[in-house]
Amino acid sequence: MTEETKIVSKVLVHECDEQALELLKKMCTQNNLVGLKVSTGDNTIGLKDASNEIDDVLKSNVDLGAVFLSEEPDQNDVSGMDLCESIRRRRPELPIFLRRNNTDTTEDLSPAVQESIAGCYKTGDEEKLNQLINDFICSMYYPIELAQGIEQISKEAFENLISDTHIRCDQPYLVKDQIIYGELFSLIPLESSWCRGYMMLQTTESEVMDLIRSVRTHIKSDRPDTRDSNNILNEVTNMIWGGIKSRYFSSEDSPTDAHRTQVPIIVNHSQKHISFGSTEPQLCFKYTLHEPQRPYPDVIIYQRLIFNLSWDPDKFAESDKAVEDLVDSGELEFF
Amino acid sequence: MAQILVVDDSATVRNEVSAFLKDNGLTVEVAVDGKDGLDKLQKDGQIKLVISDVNMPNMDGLTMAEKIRSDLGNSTVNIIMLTTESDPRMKERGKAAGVKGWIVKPFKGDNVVGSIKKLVG
Repeated sequence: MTEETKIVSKVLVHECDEQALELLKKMCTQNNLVGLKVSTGDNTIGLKDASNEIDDVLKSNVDLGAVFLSEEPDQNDVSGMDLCESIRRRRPELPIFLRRNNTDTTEDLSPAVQESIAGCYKTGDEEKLNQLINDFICSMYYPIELAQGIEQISKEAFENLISDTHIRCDQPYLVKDQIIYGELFSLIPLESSWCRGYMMLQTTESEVMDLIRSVRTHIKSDRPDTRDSNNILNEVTNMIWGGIKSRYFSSEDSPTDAHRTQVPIIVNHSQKHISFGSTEPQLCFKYTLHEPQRPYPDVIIYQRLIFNLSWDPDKFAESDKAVEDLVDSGELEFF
Repeated sequence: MAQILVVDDSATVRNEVSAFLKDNGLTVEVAVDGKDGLDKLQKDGQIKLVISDVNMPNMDGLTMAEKIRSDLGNSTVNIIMLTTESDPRMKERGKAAGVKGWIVKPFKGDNVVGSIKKLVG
């Protein structure tokens, strides 16, 4: 990672007003948001098609942070009010913001629309728009040093377990989405005095199987099965977890019994959705494992950190200093 | 009959470590968790060294080390932990259980093969 590393968040934008779009672009730049704009100007697209286009984006971008809509109809006569309910049904965890021409309240909107949107802002009201972004998208602060460290630890784990592979990591980003990517995911608790939650790794089974077939792992099998792919994900998860523990969790700062609250984790297989009970944004990394020499498909691994039980980033800086006397990995320390 | 018992719930690690040790002329048995490790150690009296993970299902590596000394009454077999853990409290528990050494994963065989060979005599 470079000095320019920043934590970003992707947002879906359906906006037809040029000035409003300019303001959104400015706010996106200021808040490290990456805007994904859906079509508003093609006269051949009606409501059904516009919804389908948004549906396509929702399907393909599993890692969104919010949706920006407008009450003003676009050239196809499709407004945010027409779209918000279906978006809400599909992705209830995503905050939807509605730009309004004359007010920033929701009182005159139908109950269904009111329920669907997280907040409104009046056209040109930069302050309100900023407040909504801060309240809903950037509501959880993640130190960049933590993001950099996790990326480094994770890359090392991949490199140690998978040979002949080039590993790329996109900018770390915040997500509100709770969509499960692929068929295979691991979950392991992360617990210290400054954080409590989970790390989740998600990937696709067939690509991991190809990884094994290509003899780039320590599993030797021409016909790998589910246990083999599970094993790979298990050990990668274990290595990253151990690295995070060693670097950031002091042995003295385990959570006390009083802090050991738990909440149920809900998995909906038909919707490919996992809920940790918190709507705070999760810290997400996307790794692409590429074999440069042979034509094997890339392996995509999404890593999410979900501090749903406790999060105190101020203590993170202290913990970084507290962890000393680290043993070099791979060396035998005799007692 | 083997010189070294590798105990790890991860097949990836079992394969990696045992392949490396075999390539270096050592004989290896594997076990999938602490319970399995205790069982294999009891059955094979030739084992000189146990290389074990700490975090495993059914029985963890430190409990296994303690039971090797207490339940099996085996005070001679050398035990090394190969783990992602580097918590000093865990190492202290390992020392108290007669663990001889500690390796933080990943396993870098070339760094430790000399020491391992010494431990198996």
